[in-house]
Amino acid sequence: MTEQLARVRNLRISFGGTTVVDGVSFEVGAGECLALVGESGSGKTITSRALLGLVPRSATISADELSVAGEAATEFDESHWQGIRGRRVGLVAQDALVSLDPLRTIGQEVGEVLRVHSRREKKPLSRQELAAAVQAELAHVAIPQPVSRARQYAHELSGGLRQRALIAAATIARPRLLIADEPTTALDLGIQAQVLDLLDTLKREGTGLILISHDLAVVARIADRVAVMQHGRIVETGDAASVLSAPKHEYTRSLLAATPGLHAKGERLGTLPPVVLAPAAPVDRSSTVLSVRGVSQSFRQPGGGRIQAVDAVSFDLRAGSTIGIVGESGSGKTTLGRIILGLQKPDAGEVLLDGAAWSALPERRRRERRHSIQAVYQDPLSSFDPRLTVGAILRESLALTGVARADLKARAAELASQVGLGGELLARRPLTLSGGQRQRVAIARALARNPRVLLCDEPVSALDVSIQAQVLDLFADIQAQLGLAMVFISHDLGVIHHVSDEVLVMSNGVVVERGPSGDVFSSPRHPYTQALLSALPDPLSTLEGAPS
Amino acid sequence: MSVGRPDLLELARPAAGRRRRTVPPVGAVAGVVLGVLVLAAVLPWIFTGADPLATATSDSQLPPSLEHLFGTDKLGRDVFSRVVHGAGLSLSFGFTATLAALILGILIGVASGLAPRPVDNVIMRALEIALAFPELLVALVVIALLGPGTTNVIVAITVAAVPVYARVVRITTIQVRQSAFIEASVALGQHRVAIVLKHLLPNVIGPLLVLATIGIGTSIIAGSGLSFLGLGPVSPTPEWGLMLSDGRNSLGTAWWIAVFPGLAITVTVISTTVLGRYLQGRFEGRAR
Repeated sequence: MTEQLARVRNLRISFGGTTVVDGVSFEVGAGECLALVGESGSGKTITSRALLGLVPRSATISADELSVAGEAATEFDESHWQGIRGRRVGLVAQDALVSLDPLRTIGQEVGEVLRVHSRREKKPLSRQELAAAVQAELAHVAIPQPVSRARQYAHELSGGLRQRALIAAATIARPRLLIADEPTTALDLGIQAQVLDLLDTLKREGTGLILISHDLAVVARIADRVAVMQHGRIVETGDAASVLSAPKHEYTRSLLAATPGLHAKGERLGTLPPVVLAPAAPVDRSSTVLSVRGVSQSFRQPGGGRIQAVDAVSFDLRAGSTIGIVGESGSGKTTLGRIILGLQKPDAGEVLLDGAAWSALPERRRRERRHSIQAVYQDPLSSFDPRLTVGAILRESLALTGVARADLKARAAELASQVGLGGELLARRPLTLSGGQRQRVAIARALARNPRVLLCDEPVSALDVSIQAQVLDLFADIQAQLGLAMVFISHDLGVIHHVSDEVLVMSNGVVVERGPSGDVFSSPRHPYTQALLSALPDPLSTLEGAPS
Repeated sequence: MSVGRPDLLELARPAAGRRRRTVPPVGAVAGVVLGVLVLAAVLPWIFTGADPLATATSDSQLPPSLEHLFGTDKLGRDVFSRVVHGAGLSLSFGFTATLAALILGILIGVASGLAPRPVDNVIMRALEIALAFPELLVALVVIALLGPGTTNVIVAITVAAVPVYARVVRITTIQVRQSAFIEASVALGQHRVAIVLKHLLPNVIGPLLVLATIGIGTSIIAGSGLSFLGLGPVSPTPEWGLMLSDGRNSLGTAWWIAVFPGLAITVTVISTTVLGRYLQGRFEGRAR
């Protein structure tokens, strides 16, 4: 029997009349990883905060048992909790840039935890002892050159190193229990794999780990046990392999079903029925609507010199098909997207739309043809004028398309219902809508222009997996019924695999690999693609026999 | 078994609700005071029947009484009536000059914010030179060039206030211009002029209106200040700055001649500023 580090029985947390955690029970032992899985609002984060005494004061919290490090935490006062935080239970937060003080060095941030606790326990460390401990801890979390890194500030470190520094701050006082709240969400796939490996190592060294994630793939990689949360309750719990391979609860099944990489292409991911759009004129699938020819773009760098963001990229896109552009952050995919949209003039090469000049045109002449190519962005909210209601956003787009003033209202309502938005939402501002609804508004605005090409730049990366499934289904419906050609930009291999006919893999502005989606995923030739695919967490590596 | 402190929750909730429902008294009072002042400016006769210009040497320098609420001045004119009738000029200094400065500031600021870098640089350096001098000094230079008079005071205050607005508008324009929704409008195929009118201007003007409310108070002080120096309207026009100047030599013997116009200026400026801050809070609260 392993040592119990935390034990929770029948935990309830409510704000006013709203219950956010409703009778949650679990326990974590040494050297064990429990994953709390669920979508936003399922109560997983607030549950973990109860183990740190960090539930907001406005909440009412009760539990039959809440023990941390073998003590009954229900009796703790604030000073007692201060002795627990960082010393018995460490927290690794999601966003390392926000979680680290921008005015203090990494060394100071990591060392503070130890300094505070050594003073508390009346064994203050000298400056030298502290510095040595910080360096040892930075080395422990595999940060190269710990001595010089300790003197740097958070913004000088890459995302992966920042996340490691945050883990070092959480582990330096040797807590037996570590809570990792979405530790890899903002990270590129390769870095994500490294951070997960680090957490796995800590687990093997005997630390108990509570991993909070919405990402089943991440969970599958290191969790021993999984607790699936929905609406503040644990709906299913068990060892990771059996929950993920043979889910019993309907919600777990729908979560797994919504994960794109686990599906044959073309299958619907969500449970909503297909939308019905106006029948389109038959599309000639052999006609090329978009040609990108040797496009290059470089930018001046702050420190002098130039960086090649996009380097001689070419491709052709046929009507009714989708080209997926995949790469990590900084690979040049968004710059390429801006050039395709005609928002940025390339240094070299050109983009043709319907066989005619596009990127070379002056904006005045391009404007007349802008309706042919429309875009859906990663953050729909910032792409809307904050003063406008949903109805006004759609009416603006319809008016541009030449819909008569008298028909605008009716057409906007029709358009909204076609993308699955209720008519009552037209009077609201996008700020008050959910992420999925916002993205539907963005899609409706684009469709109002009757485009032939739709460019989607990370359109689902800010969405929960079940909402992502609905939006991906919507894209599929639109493409099937309207015969649109799509350029789909994403860092998510599962999503790209699901939507694309052809795939371009970009790295440092260069297309390193291209080909039909099936070929690229099943037999990648370029080492970079192979590395990307091998960094994929387990469930996704079943993609059409990808290397595992 | 309770871990947290539910009693705190019980105490905190209704209070928060109550705070949201009632209008903050300070903002409301400022609003009412300003409303009364505007009414006095437009319809002074509903507050007083006394002629602000009628002199009566026999009634010279009478202290405040029921008949003359604020007393009378050296020439026996009713100070209350003169203060009420003076509201018109003082407020028009504030409102007219601020409105004019706002319009000019928006034109210059938006043009500068949208212009190519070299043009923007020239405009900005010019504005910075103007900003280097105190507003009152700039206004004095304008008066020196145009000569004294009521209209010229308004022009002078306007010219002095424009650089501040223009700078704020310019930086907001640059911010809004780079925001994703402007680019999304371009990608949608919206015309450039339509984007500026429909999306850029409204988003620039919103925050500026709040700044302007506060600016009204500053303009009123500037107007009164110039009148006090004898550069604006001339006697016997009822104007607060001018009245202050008339009464300043008899403060020891007849304090009411200077104190009441001075109070009127103070109350007006405080009201506009308080209201401006209140609106600012509301606006920013909503934006967030």
